[in-house]
Amino acid sequence: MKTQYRHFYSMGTRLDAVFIDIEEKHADKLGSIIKTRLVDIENILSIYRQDSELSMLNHSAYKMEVVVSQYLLNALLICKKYYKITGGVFDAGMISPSSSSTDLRDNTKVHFELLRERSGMKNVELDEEKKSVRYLTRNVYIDPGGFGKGMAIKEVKDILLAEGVQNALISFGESSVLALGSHPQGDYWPVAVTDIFDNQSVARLAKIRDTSISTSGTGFVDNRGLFKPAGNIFDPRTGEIIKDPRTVSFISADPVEAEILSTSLLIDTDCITEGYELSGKEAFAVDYDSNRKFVVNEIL
Amino acid sequence: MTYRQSRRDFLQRTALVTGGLILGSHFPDIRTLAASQDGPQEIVRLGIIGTGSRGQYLMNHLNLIPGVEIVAVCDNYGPNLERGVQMTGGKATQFTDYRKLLEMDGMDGLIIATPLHLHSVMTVEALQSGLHVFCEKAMAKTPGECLNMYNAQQASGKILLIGHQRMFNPRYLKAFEMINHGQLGNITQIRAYWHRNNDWRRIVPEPDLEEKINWRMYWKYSEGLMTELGSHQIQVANFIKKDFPRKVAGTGSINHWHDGREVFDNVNLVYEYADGSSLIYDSMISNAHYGLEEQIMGPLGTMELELGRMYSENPPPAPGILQLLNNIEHKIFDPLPLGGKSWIPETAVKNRGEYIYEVDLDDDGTALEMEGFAQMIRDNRHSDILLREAYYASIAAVLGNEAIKRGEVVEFPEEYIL
Repeated sequence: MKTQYRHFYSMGTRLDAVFIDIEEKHADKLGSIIKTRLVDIENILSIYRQDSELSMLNHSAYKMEVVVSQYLLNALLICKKYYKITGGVFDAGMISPSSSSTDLRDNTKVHFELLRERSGMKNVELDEEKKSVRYLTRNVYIDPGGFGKGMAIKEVKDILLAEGVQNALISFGESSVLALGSHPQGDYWPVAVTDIFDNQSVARLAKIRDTSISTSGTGFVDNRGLFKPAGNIFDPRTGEIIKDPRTVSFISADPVEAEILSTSLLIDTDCITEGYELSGKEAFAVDYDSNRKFVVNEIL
Repeated sequence: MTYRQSRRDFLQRTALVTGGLILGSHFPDIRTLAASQDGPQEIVRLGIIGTGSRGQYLMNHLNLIPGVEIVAVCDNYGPNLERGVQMTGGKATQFTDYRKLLEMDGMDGLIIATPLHLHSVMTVEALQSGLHVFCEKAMAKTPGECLNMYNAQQASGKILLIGHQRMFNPRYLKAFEMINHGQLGNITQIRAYWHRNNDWRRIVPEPDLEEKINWRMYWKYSEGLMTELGSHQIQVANFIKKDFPRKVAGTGSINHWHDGREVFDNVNLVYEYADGSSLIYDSMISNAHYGLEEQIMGPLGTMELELGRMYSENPPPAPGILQLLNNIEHKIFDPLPLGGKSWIPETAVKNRGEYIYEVDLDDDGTALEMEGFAQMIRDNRHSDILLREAYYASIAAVLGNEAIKRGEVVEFPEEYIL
């Protein structure tokens, strides 16, 4: 038995799976099961596919009450939950000011107030009994960008545990990582959030075992070494687009929580409601000063 | 950098592209062609029958090849013959009757660029007269004629090369090598199409010349889109599959150019190979938006041969993960890097593919094909592989039309399997 590596495109990014001490055939089987399950999730959640369940919901739910699958309903319940927990900082139903329709495109305060009123999770009505969803306003648009990978990682975790895998590392685009068991040379998986201006330099080391780490960032560094804001990270409460370079990482046994809260804390490190259970979890931000030197701030 | 047709370039490029043993075993003749020695070239003297548009195109290429002389031209249409002679600087002996050309001494080989229905009779007679022959594609108009040509070559021992120039195109050769090495996995489907938007007609100075000049429109002389266009792409598909189609079904009609033509202006076919994979083929001449392409598909990736790109089904390995695997193998306990310069927030991944062959080609393979034919003559080396490719492609093309006309699945006749 040896280390097996499988990789494929999924959910609009790349999935890399490293399995420790597994036969090649077992790794092939795992790869196949994971790929199939992720295709199922894409069929539900991908907004890059016009025929996905979520795309059709976005298209129809203002016009009518739409009965949805349990999986999608669960996803929306999670969105509602974290919308509350983060005081609205995590809002999966909010259209980005830069992508709204022409009548709301001008990102002035007046127009943003209109956007805030007309979109967002507060305008999403869920009926758990009927398993139905209704959008109360026209401009609601659920984007799974802030939670979809987390949900996918959770599925992968369940598959690996069911298949008896003890040690594995799953990376979704190197931003959402699941660590099962440990690296063969230690009793955890070491991961390092690197300096975005110098990827040879480690900003913060994390030791993860049977847990997930999700790292969200506000942009990337181009070939000339210049920081480019992604432009789609914004505060749903104010419309402010976050332009400064920053990454936030959240470590949790729940990959969905990790992804959602890494994005939320990126916008506001104080957004988590008091009383929310945070023991056993970690969160840290890597900020950069005017000289592009990184500074690590432990959030939890 | 543009591709310059020169013997040295041909040697270097073909050897480079076909260096693999696997491809070499399918292309012993092309690799051997490429391995010929440098030095002054033995003059190859060629005649050409058919100096219309295609013949002139070939002559343009032949005129650029050192060591090749066109010593005779033949065409039974005056303006074409005149142009053909002009293109040799007035030096070539001219004929209106090809049989007279075949009696001429001092020729090593013959180029045949005439209407399809003449390929067989001219080729057979030329081979029997002792000439090496290059005949434009498709091989012939019927399976029987194809077999006659093949048998004539076998009996004569001379070279017979059919004009499928993609077999001399370095981009295609490179693609074949990559496919043969399994980069796409087993090929489960090929789609090919050729779309144009014109009436396919040539100017006719007098009504009497309609069938002579627009021979492609009439079943008596032509098999229409399937042989004029489709045979190229069927040949490519066959070569990749290392097989010929065992059956075909399809439809075709005249749905746009209702101008008295007989051949279809659109054809739509499905060919099936022995392993159950298929070639889905269509051609039309009432819309050019999609142009032409051969899409080769397997579980590991896709190639688009005309565009020259390959798309992997799987992404390249992440550098950080590769480093992790290396570390594990060497018992190094270093962290997996997250973030950093190479980290880009996820958006929909658009796989734009990679180039199959990175050099700009200003030739579709015809230049190399003519060069190759001349060299084959110098080396007295016939390629049975290439001839069989042409044979099966031509018959498959013709069977496609038969399937359309009969409205049935047509199977490849046993008696034409070599």
